[in-house]
Amino acid sequence: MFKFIHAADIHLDSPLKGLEQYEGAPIDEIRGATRRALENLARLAIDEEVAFVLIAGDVYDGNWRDFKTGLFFRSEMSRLREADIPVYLISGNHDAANRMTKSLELPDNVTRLPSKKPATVPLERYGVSIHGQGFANAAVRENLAAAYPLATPGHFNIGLLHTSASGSPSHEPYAACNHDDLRSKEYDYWALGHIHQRGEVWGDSRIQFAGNTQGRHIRETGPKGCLVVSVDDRRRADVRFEPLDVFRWERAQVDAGHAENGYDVVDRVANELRRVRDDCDDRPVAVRVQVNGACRAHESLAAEPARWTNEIRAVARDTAAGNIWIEKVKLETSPAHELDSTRWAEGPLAELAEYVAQLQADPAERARLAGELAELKRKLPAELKEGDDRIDLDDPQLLTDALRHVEPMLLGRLRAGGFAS
Amino acid sequence: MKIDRLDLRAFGPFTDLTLALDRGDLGLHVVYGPNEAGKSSALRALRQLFYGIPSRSTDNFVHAYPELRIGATLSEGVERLECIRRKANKNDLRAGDDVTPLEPGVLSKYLAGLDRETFETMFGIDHPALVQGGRDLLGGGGNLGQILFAAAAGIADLRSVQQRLGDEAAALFVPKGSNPRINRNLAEWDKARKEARAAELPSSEWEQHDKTLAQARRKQAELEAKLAAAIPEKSRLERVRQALPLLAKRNQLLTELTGLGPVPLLADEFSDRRRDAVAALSTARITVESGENAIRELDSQIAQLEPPAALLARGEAVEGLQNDLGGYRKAQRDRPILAGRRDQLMSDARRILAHLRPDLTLAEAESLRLTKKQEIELQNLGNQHGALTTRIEQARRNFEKRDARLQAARRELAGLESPRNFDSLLVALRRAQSLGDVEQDRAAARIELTRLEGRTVAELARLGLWTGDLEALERLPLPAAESIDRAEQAHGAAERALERLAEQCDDNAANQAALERQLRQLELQGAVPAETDLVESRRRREVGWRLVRAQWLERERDLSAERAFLAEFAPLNDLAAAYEQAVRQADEQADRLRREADRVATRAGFLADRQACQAEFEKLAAQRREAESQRRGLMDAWNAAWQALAVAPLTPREMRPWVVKQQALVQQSEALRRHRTSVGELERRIATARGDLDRALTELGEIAAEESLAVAVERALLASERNKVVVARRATLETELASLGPEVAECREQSARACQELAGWGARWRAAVEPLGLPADATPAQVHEVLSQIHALFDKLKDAASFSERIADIGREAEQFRTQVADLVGQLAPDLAGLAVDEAAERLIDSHRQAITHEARLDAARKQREKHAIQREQARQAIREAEGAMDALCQEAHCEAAERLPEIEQASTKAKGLHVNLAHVHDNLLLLGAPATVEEFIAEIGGVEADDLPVRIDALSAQIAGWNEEREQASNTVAVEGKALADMDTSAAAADAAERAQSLLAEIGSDVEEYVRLRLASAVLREAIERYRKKNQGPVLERASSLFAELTAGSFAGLRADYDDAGEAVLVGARPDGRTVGVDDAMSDGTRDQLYLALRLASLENYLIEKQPIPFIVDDILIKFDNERSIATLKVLAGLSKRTQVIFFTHHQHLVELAEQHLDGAELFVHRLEGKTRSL
Repeated sequence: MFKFIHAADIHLDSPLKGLEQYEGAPIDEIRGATRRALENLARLAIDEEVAFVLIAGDVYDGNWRDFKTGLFFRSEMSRLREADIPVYLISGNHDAANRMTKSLELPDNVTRLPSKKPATVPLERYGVSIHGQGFANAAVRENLAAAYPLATPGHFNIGLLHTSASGSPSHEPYAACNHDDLRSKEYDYWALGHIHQRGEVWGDSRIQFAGNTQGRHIRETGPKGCLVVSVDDRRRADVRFEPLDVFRWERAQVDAGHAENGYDVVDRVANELRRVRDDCDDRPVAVRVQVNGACRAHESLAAEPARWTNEIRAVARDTAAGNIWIEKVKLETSPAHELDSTRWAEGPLAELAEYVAQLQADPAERARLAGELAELKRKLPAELKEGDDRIDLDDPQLLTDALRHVEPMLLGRLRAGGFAS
Repeated sequence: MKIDRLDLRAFGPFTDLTLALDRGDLGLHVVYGPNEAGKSSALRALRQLFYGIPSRSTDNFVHAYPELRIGATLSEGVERLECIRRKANKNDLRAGDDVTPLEPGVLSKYLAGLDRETFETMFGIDHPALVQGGRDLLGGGGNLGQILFAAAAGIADLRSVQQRLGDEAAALFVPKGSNPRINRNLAEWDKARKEARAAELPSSEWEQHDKTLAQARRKQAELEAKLAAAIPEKSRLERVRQALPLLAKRNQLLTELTGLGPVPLLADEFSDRRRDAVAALSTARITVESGENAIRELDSQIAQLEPPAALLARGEAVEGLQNDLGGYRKAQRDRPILAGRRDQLMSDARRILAHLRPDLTLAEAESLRLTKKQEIELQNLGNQHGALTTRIEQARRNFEKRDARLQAARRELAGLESPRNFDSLLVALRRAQSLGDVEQDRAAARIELTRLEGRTVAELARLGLWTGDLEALERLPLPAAESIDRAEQAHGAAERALERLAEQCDDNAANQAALERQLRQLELQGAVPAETDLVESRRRREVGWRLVRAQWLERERDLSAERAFLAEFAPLNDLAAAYEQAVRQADEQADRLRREADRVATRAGFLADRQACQAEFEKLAAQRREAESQRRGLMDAWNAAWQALAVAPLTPREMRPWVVKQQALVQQSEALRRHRTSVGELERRIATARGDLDRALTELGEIAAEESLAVAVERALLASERNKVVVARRATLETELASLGPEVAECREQSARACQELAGWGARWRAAVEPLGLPADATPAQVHEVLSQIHALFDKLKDAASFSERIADIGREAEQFRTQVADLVGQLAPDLAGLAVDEAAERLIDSHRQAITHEARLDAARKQREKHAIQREQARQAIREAEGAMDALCQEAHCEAAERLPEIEQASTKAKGLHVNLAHVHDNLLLLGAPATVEEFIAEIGGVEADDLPVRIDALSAQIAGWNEEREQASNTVAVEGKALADMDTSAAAADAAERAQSLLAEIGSDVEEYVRLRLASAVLREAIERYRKKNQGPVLERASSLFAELTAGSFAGLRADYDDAGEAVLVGARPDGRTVGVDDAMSDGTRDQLYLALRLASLENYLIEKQPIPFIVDDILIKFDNERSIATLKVLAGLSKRTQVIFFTHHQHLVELAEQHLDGAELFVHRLEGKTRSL
């Protein structure tokens, strides 16, 4: 009977994305999060006295060139060496793209399985065979698993593979394969990497993605870590998840329905944040707050989104004693009642609404308006136009989205006067 | 929508207050509430009625949250809505029954779907909004688009909204700026990115360092091996070279030592010891000599000193005198003073006694001393006396007071009138009162009766057509109403028929006239040829032809006919010409008839029509005559119907009101009868009540008089009240008498008891004062005075006795002192016997002190001598010891005489020096040669060629230095590279910088989004403003212009659109003389407010052209307007109230007055909020 750890997608020193710094945000807590997670991995391996550690690819981030990252990885591997724990790893697409993979010499307890063809490492002491093949380059399209050898009879057979399996919308389709490809090898456990979401594949508990060890942006929510696999004398595997992350990402969906004013909404956000905080075992957590619903607070929120974002940050600070980082606040409320379409048939506000509607419908007019932003466009870096949360002033959708906020913003500001109550 | 009623059922300070706003068509409703009356609460209630009570309302200070209610009745066209708003999270809108929930949408229909903010901004204006609007005009420099936009939407601070959009965007990004957030963060981001790159460690660099380090380590190891061999060899050669001179020195020392021969090697301290012994010997000898001199000196001193022993033996007694001497001298001084005091006291005592008891001497005075008991008895009795006399006095006064009251009560009771029976009066009175103010009623009834009678008479006179009195009128047999109706209908029909016929006749006449006119017109255009004319011409032609034929063929002329024929063609006078003319005329006629056939036909048509018209007219005339006759018949029948009544009737229609009037008079007559009856009834009741009252009063002996019932009632009431007072007073007096009798007796008894006690006291008093020699009638005060005198006397005597005692003590002590001194003088110094005692004592003390001093000095001299004797003995001992030491030293140096000792010491020192040098050389050789022994080393040196040594050593040194340098370099490289690699190790600086860059990127992203929204909002607003201006500039500006002229009471003629230097459309005010005033500082604040108001109202009217009306709520906007402009504004608002309901809240009474003075009552309705719970 023995235990081993299955980890993947460490992406060491990959920066956390989308975290605006602001007064009271837990800035120090996030520093070097991916490194802390790797340290946790090493500590866990030592504490659990595992027989070996498997890393199913993507130790590094593809375009990250700082060699110190590699050195840090090596130092953690040396810790495992001192504890007599061997490590078996394969290169993922990111590792293949990274020069460090080749130039850094790892301690002798670490074995990198080859990239040219699959190889098998037998561990006679435990009766285990580890089969695996790494990525030779950054984009491997062929089905690597197909060439894996059949299970070694009498051994506990493990397949180490970096793959998109049968596909995931947010991951590159590399080394794709299907259930039969893997099942036909008659392995006892498939340790997969590449997909950052942990879990079994095709409903087969013997085929597992470990997920990444540390979430790095809002699309990687929830606990992150590795799988501890215990194998009993009858070669049955028991899989248990262990969190390694030091910083979490969560979404907080807040229903602002019937909220009278902005402060009511902030109160509701605070309640939701309290729930998130309680779920995170004292870890700092980045929260994306999304506020929906029809309410009277809508106009006030829309009029000054920046102000309400700050209010929410402040309440987060008070609620979680600096443990919550408000990643982004999306105010997507709607008016308390649908506007009467006849209401604006006349008058200046009708003119305004009409013009906004025209803008939404008329790309030429919209383009004319976009001219106002030309100066800014010239100054913005290309990096801003990348990723899921990209800001691209050339993207027509950006103007359309912004325009949706413009009318309530203007109405809210214009009508903030009226009678003093 | 119109608000018909606002029910402030339970809200703020209000309870069940209703504002009825339904008067007038829509109306200008001025709601006046002075301060604290709840004007603003009412205003708030109105708004919260429409849009709900906020959850944190503060209007619950009278009514708790669940009780808050605002009700209203609203109407929109023919629809009405009764609703109630309460404070609740849902179903807060209910129907008028306060039970049925209403859908919020119901209300929204009445509000034209306006949301709260729009309602408040477009249909509400208050003073701050007005001022803000005016200020915004100023800030905007009159920009027309902004002004129209803001006024129409009711936005008071449009410009600051625009300004803020711009400012907020500028805080985020400015193209050439560096401080705005996006600019700053872009720079920061760039910096962080560069930092990350700089902190990055390329793989190649690390590999390079790693390689260099390995090489350096290898080199270092090689060099260290070489040095390990060369260094010991060099060291050996150097030792050999150092040992060569030592070897030579060793040989020389050994030779010198042999030359000295045998010498004792003395210890190092030998010389010191010898010098110490010589010095000790000489010091001790000097000490012995000086000690003996000192002893001799002291012995002579001792012999001279000899103190008196007897005096010293009595030292204690003599010193004792010192203390007593002071006391003695003071006592001698005090004694006469004490004697004086004592004498004074005795003299005082005598004076007191003489005053008190001149018969007694001081010695006998003791008889006056009282025992303590006696004194206490006196004191008690003295005290009791006062209390007793007070009690007697008190008892007497009580008695007198009560007795007087008793007598007075008895007298008053006797004087009171006897009680009478008032029952019947009270009955009559109650009955009279139950009638109420019956006389007043009677008076009123009489007045009403008179009025009615007067009116009836007047109306009877006014009735007309008929004469007679009321009774006759009532009996008139009028035609039945149905008959009148019938007659009226018949008359009406006849009249209408006549009218119709008259109209038809008129129409006919008009037609005829028209036809005539047309005929005339036709004629005017030229005579129309008629068929008859042609016939006539042809006839004339025929006549002419017959005449011509007769003349031509038949030769038979009819001259008369010819003449007649010729006459028709005058001036022609010959038949042929005339006949030609006739033929021509006939032809012409025929031609014209053919040529002008249309006109001929038209004329013929006209003529036919005229004929038809005339025929029609005849028919109508006949019908008219018939109708006239019918009507006359009806009139005759109608008149006949009235003949019996002696009434000359008018038309049936006119007679109907007459009949109504007659009926009214008949009813009035009945009313008159009723009134007369009721007056009679009232008279009867008064008389009965008067009778009852008079009877009752007479029974009681009151005289009845001619007076009104009210006076009689008053009088009866007075009598009854008077009686009640008498009865009450009698009861009071009887009670008083019953209690006073026993009290008087009690007082009398108390007085007697006190007198008895006073007698007992007198006996005791007499006995007590007797020892004082006072009479029995002495008062306690006298006794007290005597007692205090006696006390003073005894005090004086006591003090005098104590002084005498002290004087006696002084005498005794002086005697004792004197005896003591005499005694001592006799024993110790008989020479002082003649002196005064205190002087003798003083001298004795001095002598004693001198003796003590001598004694002490003697003692000191003796002690010193003893010390010197001891020192001399010690010095003699030291001399003996030093001499022994010298002997020992000689023995050590193996010599007989101490004088030779220095010489031997010198030789010994030299030998010892040689030995030391030799040992030194030996030690050095041992060190250099280790681990070999000195002998082995000397042997090794012997084998070395001494002359080669320096060369060999130099060569070896050079080699070692070179290797050392190389090794140093290698070692440095190892250190540097090792450190570089360690530094590289695991630092996360690059990752941290990359993370910071990401964070900045996120921040920039958010800011860009915000910036985009702000810039778009700004642009959209600008564009909307411009578009609105283009569309609405005309109508709104025109209306605003005339409103502005009105609001400024003619100070301005209107508004004009103008263009500023930048070509922007701007608004300016136009003066009546054509000058323009910009909306800048040239225009006063107040005028600008009015301008804003004019624009608001014009925009509102523009809105109302197409939309359903919504009440316009005005909150005290006139507080800064002068009277003239306030009136103008109120008129404008009244004008607006024809289009939509205007509700004007104010707490200025003078505005209400202005409105009432200057506005039409049909459009102005004033509501006051003063009584909070009263319905207005």
